[in-house]
Amino acid sequence: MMRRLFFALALVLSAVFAASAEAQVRVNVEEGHLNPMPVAVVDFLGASPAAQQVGGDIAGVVRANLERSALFRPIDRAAFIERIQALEVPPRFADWKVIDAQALVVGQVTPLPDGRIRIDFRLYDVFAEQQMTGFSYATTPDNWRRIAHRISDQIYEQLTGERGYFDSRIVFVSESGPRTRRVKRLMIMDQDGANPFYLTGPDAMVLTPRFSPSTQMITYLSYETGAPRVFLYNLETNRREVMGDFPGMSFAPRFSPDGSRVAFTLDMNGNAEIYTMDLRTRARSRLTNHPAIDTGPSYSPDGSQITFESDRGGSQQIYVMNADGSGQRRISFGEGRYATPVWSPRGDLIAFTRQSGGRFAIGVMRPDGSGERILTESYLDEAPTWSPNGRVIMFFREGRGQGARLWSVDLTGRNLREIPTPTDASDPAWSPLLP
Amino acid sequence: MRPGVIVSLIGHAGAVMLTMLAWEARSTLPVQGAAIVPVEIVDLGAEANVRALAEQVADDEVAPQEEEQLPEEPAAAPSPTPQPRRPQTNDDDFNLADISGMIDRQRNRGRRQQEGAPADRNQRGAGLGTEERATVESRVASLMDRALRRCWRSTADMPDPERLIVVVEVQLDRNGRLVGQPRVVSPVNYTFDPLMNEAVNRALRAVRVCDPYEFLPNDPSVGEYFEVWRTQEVRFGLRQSQ
Repeated sequence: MMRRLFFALALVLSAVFAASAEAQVRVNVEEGHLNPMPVAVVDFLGASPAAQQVGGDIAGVVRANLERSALFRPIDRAAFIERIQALEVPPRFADWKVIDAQALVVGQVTPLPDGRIRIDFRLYDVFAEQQMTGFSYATTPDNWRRIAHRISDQIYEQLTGERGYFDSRIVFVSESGPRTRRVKRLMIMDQDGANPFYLTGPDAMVLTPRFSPSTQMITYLSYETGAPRVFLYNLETNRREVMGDFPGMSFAPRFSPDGSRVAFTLDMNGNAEIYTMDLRTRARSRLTNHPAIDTGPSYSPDGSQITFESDRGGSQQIYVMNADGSGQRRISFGEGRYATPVWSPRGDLIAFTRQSGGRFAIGVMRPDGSGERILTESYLDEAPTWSPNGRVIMFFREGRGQGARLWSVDLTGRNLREIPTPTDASDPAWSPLLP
Repeated sequence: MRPGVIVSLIGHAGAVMLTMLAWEARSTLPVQGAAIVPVEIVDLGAEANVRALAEQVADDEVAPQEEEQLPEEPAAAPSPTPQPRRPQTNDDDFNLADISGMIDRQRNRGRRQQEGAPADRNQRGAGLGTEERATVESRVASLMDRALRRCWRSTADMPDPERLIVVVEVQLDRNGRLVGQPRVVSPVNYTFDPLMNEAVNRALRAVRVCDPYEFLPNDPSVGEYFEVWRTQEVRFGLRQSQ
């Protein structure tokens, strides 16, 4: 027993002495910078001129994605010192440190015997002098843009710790023709504006497209059958169907997080209430019951709550309730009218449109209504939609007498960019990451 | 009705129809099902993973630097029993960098002696009084903070940043250069926490990007106290709200 005690005491004493001997300067760094990280993306290698062309195109899309996120600063290729010759040879890190590249992306394109292409890429931490990640993909040659987006997501995830959002798409309302006879059609494109395609014809006006957060399914409002009705569109099977025949006007549909239900507004006899419908059983249940207008429902990512807008308090404001309709409470109390609440996929914020002083703003607040921040404001900013990782918000902006265009802004509010679309565009909806 | 009128009517109708067709075609983008073309992830072959290769090459490159520090080892940590020399990998190699480094050090030592400085600054630090040592430590911490805040990408833009606190141990040589890799003291377990993982990466990257810390040996008030600043514990994290 004594021997054990002595041994323990000796251990404690030695630890104390060791600690004092190892006394170190303690440095406390509490402030840093938020400058974009300098990244070098080398044109991917290719054995043939065609493969080199694809390799250059992929690197270009990766650079554009990273730059657009505002978290990274792709370094001008003219500054590169080392010329990467082979993927299997480690880079000369000293050459990349000199040009201040903190990360290095290299890759190569290889044609496969079956007509497809194989794309390998590596991401290096230049200052740690080690590979961070590396992947190989195989796909059809015309699908190279998706590979570029997948690689961008890998880089984003490795260097930020968060999921990426580049391999995703946007569905929106394409607008064309004179103001008196506006043609509104559904269009889909990559999140960077590439590969735009119409999903519906010019005959029926469509409104409020919304992506399922978990499947490649869209819900939207269409006048195809005369009266406005909610449609479901499965992008993988290319099938469309009416969600249901309701005794009144249905609008503002939005999927539940698992895609199994749709919350929507049903206007019967001039009273708009929020309902939810099980897509499998088609069973419908009412969530709100108030003489005022209740609309614009949006689920929290865990599916337990719904945010919506209502003018029950005298003006349009944002409310939150439990998914079964209980516990309804107002969360917006700022100046002006609040509308189009959309819950972030992260769950920490609700995006909204605020109308005040004749201007429209896009902002975010916490689900309890605190921490309200306005990200962007103009003559007309409306209809926010979140990127799959909850980092970026897309919306449409319309100038006085001008057509609507799509814009994106990050949560800092500083990275505001127009998204190129082939026509005027409104009501964007961001897809989840592609499968 | 005269035939000319009929022909004219047909002609005008045709012209109008053609115009409509052309108008429609002009603004038409393809309508299609937005089918998703699959992407197959191919496993990386062993030959494609160059990490091992990179590390091997990095080791080779690092070797001369380690050699450069060898003569300083006994002085840096005075001890009754001399440290055994580490095995040299390239004994027979003629290394100009090593030789010039040794000459520079000899020259600096000579200059310091002429200026009245102690013969070996590595001896300084251990004999400092508590108050004096605290002053030096405070100055070192201030200099390091000033440098590292320019190299550290803050965690302010990450979700829940208050919890993302990383403590790193940094070893420097007498020239203010990083010795080996910075060691993560805390958190201990972060492999499955991608955000903490990134916070650790940002801390380690800051330490590496800021290297070398030449301002320490060059600073008139702390430069000679190598014993004080050779090992430091750096905490990266936003200021905790009260």
